[in-house]
Amino acid sequence: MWSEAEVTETDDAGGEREMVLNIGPQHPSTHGVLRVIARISGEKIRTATCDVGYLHRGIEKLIENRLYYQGMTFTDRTDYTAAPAGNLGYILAVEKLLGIEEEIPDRTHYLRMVVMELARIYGHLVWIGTHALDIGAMSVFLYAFREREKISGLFEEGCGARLTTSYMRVGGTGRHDDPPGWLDHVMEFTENFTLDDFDTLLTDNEIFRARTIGVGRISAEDAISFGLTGACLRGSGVAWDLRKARPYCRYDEVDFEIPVGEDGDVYSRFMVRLNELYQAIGIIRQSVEKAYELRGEPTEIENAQVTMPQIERVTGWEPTGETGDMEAMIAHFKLVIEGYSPPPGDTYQGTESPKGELGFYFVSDGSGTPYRCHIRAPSFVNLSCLEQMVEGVLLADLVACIGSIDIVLGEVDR
Amino acid sequence: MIEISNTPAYDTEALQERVRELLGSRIVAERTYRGDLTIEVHVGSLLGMISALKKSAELDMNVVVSITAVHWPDEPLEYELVYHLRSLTRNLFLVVKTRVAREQAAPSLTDLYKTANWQEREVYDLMGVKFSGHPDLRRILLPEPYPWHPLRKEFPVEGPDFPIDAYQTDAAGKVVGDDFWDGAEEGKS
Repeated sequence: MWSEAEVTETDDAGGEREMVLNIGPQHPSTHGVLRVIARISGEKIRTATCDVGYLHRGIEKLIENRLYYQGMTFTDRTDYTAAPAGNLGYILAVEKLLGIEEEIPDRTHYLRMVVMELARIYGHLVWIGTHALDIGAMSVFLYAFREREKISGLFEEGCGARLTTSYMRVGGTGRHDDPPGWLDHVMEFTENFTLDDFDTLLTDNEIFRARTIGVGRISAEDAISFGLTGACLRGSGVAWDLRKARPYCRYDEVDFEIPVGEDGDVYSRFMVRLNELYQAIGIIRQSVEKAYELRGEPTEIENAQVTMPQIERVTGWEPTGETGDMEAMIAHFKLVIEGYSPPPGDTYQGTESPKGELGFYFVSDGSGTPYRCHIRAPSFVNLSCLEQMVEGVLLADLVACIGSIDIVLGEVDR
Repeated sequence: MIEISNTPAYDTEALQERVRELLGSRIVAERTYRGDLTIEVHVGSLLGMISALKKSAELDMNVVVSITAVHWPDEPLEYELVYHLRSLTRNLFLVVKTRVAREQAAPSLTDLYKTANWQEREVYDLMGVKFSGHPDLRRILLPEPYPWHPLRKEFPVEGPDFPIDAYQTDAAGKVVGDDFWDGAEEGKS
């Protein structure tokens, strides 16, 4: 459909000149490898067609050919701006498939929520920086990445990795994912974290408002029909959030509000995400308090079929004179080689990731690898509304629209 | 303004009864697993039933969360299409499944939900299920001349071990031998 002959100026019946303009896939304001083929007349976009898939790695197929615990590493690489959000979606889905979600200890849930909300801030900071950069506000990017660096440091302190975290484990958190003093550092971060920089630079910025208010409108009906989730849906005035509607972890135990926009334009989506950052800080603080209270409680379930035995029990531990335990060694060996086998059946678990509803659909045939794994990627579904959103807008507003949907191409293409 | 609900209107049993009332004997099978209700229907009645679920004021399934397919190569009806439906206003969740044979087309939901456009294109691209009534059934993630549907079970995870240009295209630019193993034999000879 994009033959050479078409990529020229043509006269249509009305005498208006029309041309086809290719945007991307290597263009900074398409946020990755998104290609948009815009049919423009003057500066107005008549129709736009998205071309995605440049980053397709076949993650679903790869997960289907690996053990359950191995599949989690791929979820770091879907939404790579907020890797723990993908990890959480994956492990909650596997826990639901195994039927152990009721057994997960409270402390684990709160630690997961701390990491999850840090990931939300982590993801939103990339978005606010690049979105503002697209519209011409350069300095916001630097402030956003200054704050983001602190969260990278917290992730590194917690799990050893900065970007591809693989933070959580099925059945609990990683054993060393809550090192001494880490919660204090998280608390310190929330105390020092400020959104004033972004607020003063963008919220009342005349140029930013002129570029975003009334641009890229999506009505509530269309947003629902397109299956939009996350800030794209809430920006259109629908206060749907899975953390409230279908609470997972312990989101029903903490206080937070759902920011909602009214107009469904780029500015509404901006305000929703900005306010989500405030709410995320509140959730982190409450979760850290709860985790303090539950200090010393277990962070993993007692189920040798799912969670690894203590490494000291497997190998022995010289300082205490402890010798290895044969049973622990067998359990460890079987878990690493065979993994665990959920009973045959299929489950879907959706979580509210920074981008929207991230869902994992698993089909188990009773073996150690998933028979089918489908990732319901929020970026993919949200991006599908772009073609309608940009009809009739100016070409310069296209980048504002793309930025406001907040896509990550690793998740769109999987 | 669309009022959403944060408390489910029905629990799973009540939802099951409502769905039974609405769809009656057209349900082939139903199952509750891990708290989610799944109903299975014939592919012929799929469109009518999802339309009824959407129009029903009691259930109001206004969102298709995801559309996907599962490949069971040993069964006569190879593809199991899975639709996850959700109601934002009633806070309900329902899974609808149907089965189609390899060359059989499933009805497209694009008239009911705009999100079906891209999601069905993805199913077609990766699984090879065709949707009748879809306005623009092209590949979405893989390039247009790609000859295979890689989420089918017979497709090896490491990919084919011969070059893609070993394949012949017909006059319309369509690759001859859509099936992976048919293509493999041609490519090697």
